[in-house]
Amino acid sequence: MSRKQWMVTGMTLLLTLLYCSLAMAAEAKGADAATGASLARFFSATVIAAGIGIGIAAFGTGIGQGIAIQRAVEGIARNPEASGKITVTMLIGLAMIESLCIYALVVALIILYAYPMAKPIATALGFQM
Amino acid sequence: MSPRHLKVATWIMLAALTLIGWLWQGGDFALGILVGGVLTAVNFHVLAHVLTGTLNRPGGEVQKWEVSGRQGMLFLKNIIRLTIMAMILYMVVKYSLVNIWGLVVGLSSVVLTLILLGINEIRKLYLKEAIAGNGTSNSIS
Repeated sequence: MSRKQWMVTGMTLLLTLLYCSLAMAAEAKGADAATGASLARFFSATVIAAGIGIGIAAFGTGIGQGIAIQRAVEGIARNPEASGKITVTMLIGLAMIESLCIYALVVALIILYAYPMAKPIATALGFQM
Repeated sequence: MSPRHLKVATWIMLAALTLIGWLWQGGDFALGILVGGVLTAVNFHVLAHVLTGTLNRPGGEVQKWEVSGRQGMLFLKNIIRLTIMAMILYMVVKYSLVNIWGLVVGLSSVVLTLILLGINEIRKLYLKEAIAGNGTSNSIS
């Protein structure tokens, strides 16, 4: 990764974090508004957590699969007769790498739609769900 | 180990996990395992089909393939595969169609199969070395 790519990645991350702080900075007035704001903050945090989680997983999976396929293609180019064995080994690796991203997707979906603690937290904040 | 061997082992593992889940936690959990397992097994089959078809081509065919612009199709097939997988998972989790923990176990069925097959291969390798490491090709009496 070149220096420019590092800088672009860093700036994107920084901007994302700045927007997060802006989104969470809004303070409501009054008791009801305060609990509403707490709930909104909680759900904003869950959405951000799901997004960042699946983003990191996809980033790692992409790099891992890219490297695996690169090496496999190099191996097949050097020794075409071994393409069968190389393909099977690569398939195993890819399936294992991809499963990590699928787990991250499931966890993100659970956080968004089936988070078991969402109801107790909303009840504790005074909301009936 | 051939791709066919892997596929058969995946389905056997899925059947075993579903049966164990059904006996241990009941029908809802077993359905979760079945849905997750079928999803991930089909995903693995499609991945294997696409990659085997792409990488194991004779030289002449590769050139024809490049000229006809079918490289884009490979990319498209991968995107379609992942989109369908994500959409099904979204529907299943959002509407709680199956047990979530069963789904997670089912999604792990391919990984579990690969780990078990890997352990089996390593075991075979060690056994082979142990037999060859006797120091003589003659039988020990």
